[in-house]
Amino acid sequence: MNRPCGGLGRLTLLLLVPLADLRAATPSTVSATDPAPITWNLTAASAVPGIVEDGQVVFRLHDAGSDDIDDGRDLEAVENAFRTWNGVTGSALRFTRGADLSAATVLADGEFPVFWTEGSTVLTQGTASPDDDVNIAGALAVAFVYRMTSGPAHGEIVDANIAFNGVEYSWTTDPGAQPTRYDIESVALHEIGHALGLDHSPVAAATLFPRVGAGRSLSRSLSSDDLAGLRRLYPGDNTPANRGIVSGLLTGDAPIFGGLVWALDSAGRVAAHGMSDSEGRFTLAGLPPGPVTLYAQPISAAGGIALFQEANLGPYWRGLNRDFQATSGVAVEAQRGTTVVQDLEVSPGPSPIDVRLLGRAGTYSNGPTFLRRGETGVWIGAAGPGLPASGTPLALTGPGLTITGWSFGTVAGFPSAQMRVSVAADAPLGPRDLVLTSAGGRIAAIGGVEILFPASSGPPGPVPAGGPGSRPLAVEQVGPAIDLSWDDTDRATAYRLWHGTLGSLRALGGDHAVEGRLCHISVPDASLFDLPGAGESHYFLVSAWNAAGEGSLGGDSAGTERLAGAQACP
Amino acid sequence: MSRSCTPQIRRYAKESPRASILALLILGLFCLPAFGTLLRPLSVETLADLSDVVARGRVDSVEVVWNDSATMPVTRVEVEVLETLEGNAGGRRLIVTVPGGERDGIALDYGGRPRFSPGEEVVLFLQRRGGRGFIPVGLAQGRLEVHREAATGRALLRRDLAGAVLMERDERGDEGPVAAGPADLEALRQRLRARSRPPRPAQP
Repeated sequence: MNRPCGGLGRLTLLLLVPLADLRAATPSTVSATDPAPITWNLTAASAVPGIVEDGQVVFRLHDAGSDDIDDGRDLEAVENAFRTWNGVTGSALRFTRGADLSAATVLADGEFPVFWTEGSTVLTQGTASPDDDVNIAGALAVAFVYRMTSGPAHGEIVDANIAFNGVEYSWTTDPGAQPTRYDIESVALHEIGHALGLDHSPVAAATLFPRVGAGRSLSRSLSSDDLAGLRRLYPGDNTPANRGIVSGLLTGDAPIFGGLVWALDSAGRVAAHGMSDSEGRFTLAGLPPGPVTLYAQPISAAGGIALFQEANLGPYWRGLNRDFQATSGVAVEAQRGTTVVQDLEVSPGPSPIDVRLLGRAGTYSNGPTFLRRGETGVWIGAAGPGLPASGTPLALTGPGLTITGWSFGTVAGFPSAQMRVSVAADAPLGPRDLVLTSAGGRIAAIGGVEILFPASSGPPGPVPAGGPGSRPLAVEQVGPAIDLSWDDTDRATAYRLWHGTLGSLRALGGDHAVEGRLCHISVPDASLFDLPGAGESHYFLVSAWNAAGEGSLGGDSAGTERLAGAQACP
Repeated sequence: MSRSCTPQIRRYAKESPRASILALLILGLFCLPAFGTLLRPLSVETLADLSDVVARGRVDSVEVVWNDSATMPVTRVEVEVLETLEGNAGGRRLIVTVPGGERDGIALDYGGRPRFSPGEEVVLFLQRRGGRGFIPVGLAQGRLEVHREAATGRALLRRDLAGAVLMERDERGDEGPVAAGPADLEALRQRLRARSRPPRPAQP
């Protein structure tokens, strides 16, 4: 049964300066004319009774779950998704599970249910008139969110409901074994993002990116962009002081409305995105301190296949200015607790190039793709109008990637280019941009290719065993990243990483596959967690799990089993 | 018919002076933001299979009211029927209701919520819900905008998914590429005529 404290390491960092407001990501807005974000009010004085209790948002699961799963893992998967959002340090938002329900509606009734509709795609509300029925045919899942649009509570979310479509779709908690079904945890993670106030993200590797395919579970963890959005809406006590903000104006002949602006960290990974408002202002918040590179580009044209376009966003983002050229990178130093102002100027005129599809050869889609550390000779590519049919028109940002060949063709009527890529065993993990260039232009699939750990293989194996206590965990800060390594005597299939102060460790999200006998996780610094405050010590805990998701945090010094999210190793 | 606030918000108002003020505010209808919804593209044939009526019409009026239990703002749309493409509309006017909208300072939204504006011409795939009332099938996929081409007068069709997104083809090719809908009204008519209408599965 257990063991796991793979080890405990301690990191203490000092600093702190006051910081301005946080703005980044793309929050849902109050209305088409009011760009104010919407959030839950977590303070007891004004929170909506019934859903927000003791500063936590109470969700309730319909006890029937999905008809496709009868062992309770469907409800566990939904709860795991809430836990993942809970596990973000630097965020004040916490969800808690209330008593299960035996019936659910999408009414504003003081309950936040998560449920499957089975038997009919028509959601009925049990009221006298059918006026409030809604037919969700074709929808995978829907988040119904109520918010206040005026008055002192302006912008507050007051009720939410999430409905999964069990009629037209099949669901699973094991998309690896059931690849034609939809992964409950991934979809729940996405819909919860909406229920907490986030709109879609143009970062293809983000959980809030608008598309997911059957059989995929890559979205069970949150990207740095998702985290930046969450922290923007619900900043934790230390968040403003520990992170950097870059803001400015995006202008051409006039201010640009709706330009995509994003920052890459020094390893070429997407740190955060924002969009310029109707006055051309943009803000990227939650940036890890250190050098970042800013980029801006227009959103894709409406209609047809695209990675991200106006229709993917709420109605505030309509009539966006697409008539400008993408910028080349502008280097900026993000500083803790400080807003750095950096304006971006663009050249007017339509972009001569766009990206519509990308992926591994033969499996192009308008969604993200991935590469794994150690893979060699993988053909990946992109397609879109204006892509040259010769030369080297594609590139991936960041180190650790080697390109050894090129080919060209046509996909879905668009010119396409493919490159043969090999990934170094130590390539930095995370979302990279796939950049397309032509003689007169540049466009990026933002976060279009994610570098992942090598796939684990073989049977689940036994639950990692071992006694309570610690095994040496080396913690080392290397540039913007924090490297953790330990001796993997148990040969666990996967590890989960926890971080925080003693007594409040929180999961950093995602499983990390074993890389070898000497295990190693590279945490991309502040993009994943808050650094400790002055004089404060933070701890890392690595817990071992098998491929079936069985494991634990191990025992405390008295040999008592620790509960997830509860206490750290003493 | 319409109420000032939901029971939940009433309870909120009791306990929060801010909400009491809020309950006094009456706002007009305006467009609201969408929230995420993942949609599988439905062909017009599938939409028609799920519908009782497919009709082209002009939106006469749009009003947001409370549902019977005052627990949900509902958008009530009155449509003048210009052409019944399939089924029996039962008259020259249709009442279409769609959960969501903004009323009395509270708004309900979700990705894929069909939106309507007075005066616009639309094709609707509708399911009958009691008496003369209908609801759209497949969220925003059940509503096509009709636009007249200036030079030719040709009736073009356009779909606004209201923040929802059609799903991609997955790594294993399980989803097809985004389905192309009929480009114009005549093509839609032909596709509806060409299909043999199967019995529609019962929906409560």
